[in-house]
Amino acid sequence: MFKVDIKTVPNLLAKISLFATICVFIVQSISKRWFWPQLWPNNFEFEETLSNFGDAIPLLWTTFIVAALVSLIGIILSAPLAWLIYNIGQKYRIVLILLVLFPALIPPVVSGVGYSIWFIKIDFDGNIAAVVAAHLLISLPYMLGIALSILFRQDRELFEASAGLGWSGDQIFFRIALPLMRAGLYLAAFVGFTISWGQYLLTVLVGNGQVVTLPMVVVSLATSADQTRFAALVLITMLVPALVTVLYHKVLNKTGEYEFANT
Amino acid sequence: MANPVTPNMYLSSRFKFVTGGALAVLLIPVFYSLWYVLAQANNAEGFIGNLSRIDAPENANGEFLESFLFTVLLAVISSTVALMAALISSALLVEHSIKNKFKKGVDGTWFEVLVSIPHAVWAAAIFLWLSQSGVLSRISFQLGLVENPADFPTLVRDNNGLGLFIHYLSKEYPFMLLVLTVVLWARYRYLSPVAASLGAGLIYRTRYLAWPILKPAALGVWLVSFSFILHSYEAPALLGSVKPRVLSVLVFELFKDPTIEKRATAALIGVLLLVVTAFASLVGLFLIWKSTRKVADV
Amino acid sequence: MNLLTLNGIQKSYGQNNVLNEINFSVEPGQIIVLLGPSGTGKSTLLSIIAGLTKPDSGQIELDGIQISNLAVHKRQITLLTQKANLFPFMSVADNVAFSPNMKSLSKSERDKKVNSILEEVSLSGYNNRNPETLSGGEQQRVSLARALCSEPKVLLLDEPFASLDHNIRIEHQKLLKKLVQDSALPVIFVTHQLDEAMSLADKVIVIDEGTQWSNQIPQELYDKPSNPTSAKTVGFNVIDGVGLKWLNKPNIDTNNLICVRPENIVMDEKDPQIIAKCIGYLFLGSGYKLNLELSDGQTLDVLTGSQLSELELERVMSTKEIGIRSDFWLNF
Repeated sequence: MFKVDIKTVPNLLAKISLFATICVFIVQSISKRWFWPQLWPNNFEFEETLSNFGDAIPLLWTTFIVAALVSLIGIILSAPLAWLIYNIGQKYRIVLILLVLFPALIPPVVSGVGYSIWFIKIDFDGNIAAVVAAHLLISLPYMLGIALSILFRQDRELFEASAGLGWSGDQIFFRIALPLMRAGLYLAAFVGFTISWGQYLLTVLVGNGQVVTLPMVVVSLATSADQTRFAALVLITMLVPALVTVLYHKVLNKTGEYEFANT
Repeated sequence: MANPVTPNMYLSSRFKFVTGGALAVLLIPVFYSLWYVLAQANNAEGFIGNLSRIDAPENANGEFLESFLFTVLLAVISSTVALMAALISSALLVEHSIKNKFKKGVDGTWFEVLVSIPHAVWAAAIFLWLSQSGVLSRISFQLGLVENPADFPTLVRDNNGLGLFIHYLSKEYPFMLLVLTVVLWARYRYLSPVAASLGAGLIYRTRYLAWPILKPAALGVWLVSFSFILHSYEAPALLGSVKPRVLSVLVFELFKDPTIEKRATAALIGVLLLVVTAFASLVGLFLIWKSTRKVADV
Repeated sequence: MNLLTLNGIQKSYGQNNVLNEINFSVEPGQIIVLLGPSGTGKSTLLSIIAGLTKPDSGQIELDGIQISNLAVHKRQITLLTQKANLFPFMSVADNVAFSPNMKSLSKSERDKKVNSILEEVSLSGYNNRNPETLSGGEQQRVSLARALCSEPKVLLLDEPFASLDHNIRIEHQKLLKKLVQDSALPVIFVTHQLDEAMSLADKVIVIDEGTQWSNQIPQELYDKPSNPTSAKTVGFNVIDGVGLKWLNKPNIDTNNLICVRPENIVMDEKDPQIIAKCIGYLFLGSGYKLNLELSDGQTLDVLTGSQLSELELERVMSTKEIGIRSDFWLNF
């Protein structure tokens, strides 16, 4: 009889809920009609399934490109912003932090409308860049928070020692601060990617129907009759960030920075 | 070399200009959208007029107050229950890691996978499991508990928000757990063995050591979760009922209406949501600051 | 009567054998010092006694009761480490009162206990201080006070004074000795510093590479260690007598491992026992430590009892052959 340590129950529940859900969606994505109260479908349609997955590739590509750009631009912005906030005088620090956090306070349903009006005004709406910009605004507070928390944990004497060796502020940033922040920036990139990947409302409002991502189609198909296609798209939308999560751990574990990122 | 504790010492003028400039450019649409929403909210009968008649038929048509209370209650209850579960789980998981001498702390991979799944997708999964034609309903039929779908209790798209509660609980709990285990592991792994060696059992250690360490982080994640649920659209769009609607859904529907009054009401509700979030953030930050205050020094 | 007894304690991490068959006992009021180089398993042993690590085999008895499977918090054995690990969100008094708070004492009883212990460790008036504002030495004293307040049956100390400067360390050693005498508390103390071991211990157990090499009183260990490993640990020169070119053999079996203390070797040109060459030296303040090389390449350390003049030192360094002798060679 195997013993389950109560302390490992949360992990077990997480795994069970994930795998059970994925299995059910896999079954739904390959079934022709899965009527109530069948526990197992009577008819399967593999050709249609393959076609559904094939049709999803452009959507997958668009969603991935947007999320990847948000993640990349996000860390390019977060690192120097974190350094600026870390080094600037106390009163400006609070102002800067509030400024960066402010977009996170505005409800997306409100900011999305505002961003879309602004982008229409400057003739920038309905394209991937506009969607990336909108996603970036909502992801940046979280990415910056991570970068800042890593930076504030560093020993200031490292920077002072570098200055004592004759390095300029810019050199210290690029050669000392950035390497020290690397693990945090990987985490920030991962967080930015997953926030952007799951965005629906901002993409609808700012994309203006020209940029179509997986979450948009998933929501629109949720109440449709084509549950087979719906399940296929749900699987892709679910599995890509899951895969990115696992890959992120593999990369960090290999470089030995997992413990650092988690402390 | 200048005094090493001088602010701006490591910031060249070029660095400040480029970084500050990039931030300024990025914030333009943010301030524009704030201005736009305030301007919209001031349309029709003006800000105060719109506020006093927010539930009038040409505005929110009686939906606002009910929707507001429902949304706030949902956010408070979901965040609180998720936090309670995450606090207990994080203490147990960290103790387990300490006891088994895991060098890397708590392995949060599976929780991170759960957190990474978009809300729209997870809401679809909740629907799949809990709807009257869903998996649990089918299992109930096989067990002889129900005879047709209508016999299965309404767990999603219900008036009580149960489906939404389950959704937010299952999404916020892993997020909170991840943050709390990291915070706890950082310090608690050194202090827990000391406390055990001094005779403190698991419950005593959790109450008097883990909780003070977790308190600021617990307040922080509750605040993040509360704000998120308050603003959330995707999950309520899929799992919420028609009445009462969650505020974000109501706002979105009102914004889509071509009439000035409805759009003004939408903008006004958006401003109210912002005010509530800002107020909650201020209160939360104050409580976090208070909980991290050091012991008085003589 | 033995309060704590260890029998056959073994521990490995994978292929790495950390502890081999450790056996010893501690009596009330006794200070046992575990002496040995860093990384030889001493801290692991303390961790096993405290219950924080499970041994692969072996038994631990406390007061005649098997405690090998008892949880940490039930053992009444308190462990202090090099880091004070004070709870940062509690004042000094609250830290010290951590264990009494678990018992149903009245506030006045608790306060009396805390104040009395703080006075014993010379920290009266520090009750409301923030632990993070205290010096290293003060933090260790609070840690000690906290441990004593928990009324343990055995106190384990893992190099608690290692990070303190010399004078503060001496003070803390004296404080510990006094507290142990007053309370008859058995103590197991880990250190890699010989002077600390000699001044504190009632008994010294040498542990090297996870193996227990001796269990002797300090004087005996210092003068007559029972094996080469213990001898090396307490500062003896240990050399292989076979193959050495003796000019005047001492009265011991020189065809074996032999040892001698550095301070018991003198430079004697008139009646040397053996010839050596000086290959280095260190100035210690009270004299010099000379590093000598013998004819077969083995090296010896010699402590000069009085200050050599610069001229004498130059002569010693430049001379290719120096005669040395000792009347205190030991066999094993």
